[in-house]
Amino acid sequence: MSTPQNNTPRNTISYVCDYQWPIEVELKGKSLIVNVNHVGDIRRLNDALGTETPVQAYIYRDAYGSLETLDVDPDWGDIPIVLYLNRLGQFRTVAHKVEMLKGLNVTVIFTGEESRACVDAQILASLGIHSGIKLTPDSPLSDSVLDLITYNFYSQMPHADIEPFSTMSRHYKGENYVSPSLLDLENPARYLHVDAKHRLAFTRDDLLAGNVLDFTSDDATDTLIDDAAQIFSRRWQQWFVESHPCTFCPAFRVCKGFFHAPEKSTERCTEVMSELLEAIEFERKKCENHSKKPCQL
Amino acid sequence: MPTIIFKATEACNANCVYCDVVHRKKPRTISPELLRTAFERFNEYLLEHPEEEMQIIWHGGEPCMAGLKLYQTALEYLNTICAATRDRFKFAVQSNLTMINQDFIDTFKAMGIDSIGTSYEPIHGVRGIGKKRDSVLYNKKFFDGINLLEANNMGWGFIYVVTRQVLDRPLEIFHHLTNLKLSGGFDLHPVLVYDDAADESMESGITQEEFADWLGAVFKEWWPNRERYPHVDPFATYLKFYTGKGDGLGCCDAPTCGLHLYLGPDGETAQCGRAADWDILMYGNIASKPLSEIFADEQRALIDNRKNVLPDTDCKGCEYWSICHGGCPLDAYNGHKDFNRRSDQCLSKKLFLKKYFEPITGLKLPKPQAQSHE
Repeated sequence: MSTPQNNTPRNTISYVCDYQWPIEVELKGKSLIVNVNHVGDIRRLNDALGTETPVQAYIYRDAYGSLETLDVDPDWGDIPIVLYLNRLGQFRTVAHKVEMLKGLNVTVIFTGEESRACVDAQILASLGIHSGIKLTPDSPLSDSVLDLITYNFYSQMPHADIEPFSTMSRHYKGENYVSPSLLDLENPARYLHVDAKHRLAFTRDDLLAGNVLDFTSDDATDTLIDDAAQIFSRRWQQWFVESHPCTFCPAFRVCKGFFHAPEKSTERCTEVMSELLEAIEFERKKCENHSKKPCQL
Repeated sequence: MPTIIFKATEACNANCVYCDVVHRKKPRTISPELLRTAFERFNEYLLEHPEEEMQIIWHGGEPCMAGLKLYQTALEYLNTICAATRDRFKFAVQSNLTMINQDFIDTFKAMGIDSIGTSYEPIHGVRGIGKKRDSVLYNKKFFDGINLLEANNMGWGFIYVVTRQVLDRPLEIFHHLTNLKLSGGFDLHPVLVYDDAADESMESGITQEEFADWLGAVFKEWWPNRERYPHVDPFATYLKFYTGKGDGLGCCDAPTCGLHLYLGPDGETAQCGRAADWDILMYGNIASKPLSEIFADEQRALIDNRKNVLPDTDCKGCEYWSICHGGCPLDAYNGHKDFNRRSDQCLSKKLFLKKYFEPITGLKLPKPQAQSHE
């Protein structure tokens, strides 16, 4: 536990914000993740923020757009960018962008129809581009998702990471809970969501619903953040207090009820998330084995 | 090492559907005078036996129902009356955690306790607070306790009691428990319902065959995933024994009960908690008898001699003798009114090992190196 005297500003947390208010001034000096409305804002904003306000990622969302039609700026360079796009589009057009994308620090998450999104993510990953699909509580979790999980964890062919599975795998240590919500930047150890009034929450949904912390980004200290994060990180316990049906699922540790909805059958999410759990454990074991020192003859 | 189950109070704030003691007894709590006497007796014994250590397990009821003052006083007696022997005490506590607070934790830690044994029940209505058996309130308080323990870097493990209420859902229960404690760290037990129990308790009872099959259903899931949740008993313990890595049996399976002793709130001592429940193997009051005399009680021979009798009677030729030893003698007495009988619980162990553990693992119990009665 932090001591009350510890009032130094925390520099390990990133503030997730929308670029709809003067964040350059009001969040100056903080580590940021910025949601932008226009891809053209990325380079301009990055130049304006400079090194004093480090940005961990710029996030651009276009629910209907494709990678095919997106203006990819070759000067993005190393700027970390996450693109949420509906689909890949015509591959013969995208193919010309592949080499450029490989030289950039871009992750592409597909949000369109699930089977299409899985295929698109697999194509990009196979070309060495960090990609993924957006899972939501309403995701049908079709066999395409299982195929994508299989490709990400078991395929012998080299490929880039596929989200949210790779991030979940990186965070899962066997004795902690993870969930697809990690992709929504729900991780109290790393992210705080902040709005124009400088109000804070550990999830975007909480922020939008006004379910905010009792301190702002202006007076946040390590102590305040740690204490609030500790309370937030115990939210899973409420599922057990109520003996929620999801707590009886073998995959709860990699889901935390992410797919729960009233009246919805849990049969499919149990099946898919159980396979994901096995795949993540396979990956962990593989990494552990690879960490062994090679025999020196 | 003498192990004293110190039931300083019988009072409990929880109400469990299967709990026999709640129905049977008016709760009593030890007096300050008797607490002092107990520590004088502990010290006296350790001074007489300089090679020995002593484990004291605070038990109940719910130990916290005795009040913080009792444990603070115990700590004071430990530091004063037992100043010369203090280092040879090992304390433990079994609590439902729903009443624990920072003061209790500070006191327990000062006794050297760094982990607390508890129990847990996911099915609402089986365990709860008060007459209404409020399970939501119980669980909420339980998690408050867990959070406090973890904030104090204290460990915890729990037992789960299998009742008729969960007989048809072994995997759901197992997954719930492993979701609660992700790498395991719990022990699965059958509910113990005595012949004279209240109706409600009787309805929770399960047969030996039912428990074996319940364990078997869980084991089928545990075995291929044992790296995910390694610390689930009795599976982990059986596996150790079958692979020659066994490091001790629980009191119910050991060849003898050793220097195990129940100490109740009125100072009465007995072989163990079960013995005290049934008023058998009572060894006298600590106020009038030193521990050495209590541990030397002739009745203990009834238990100790069992390991010589059973291999030629009830357990003759049993391939599981080395892992069971006829089971708990008190259970045997409960079923047959004779300590020199095997416990009825043997059946569930045998069934589980033969029907599930051995075929699934492909393991066979190592043969004892020499024929002996251990």
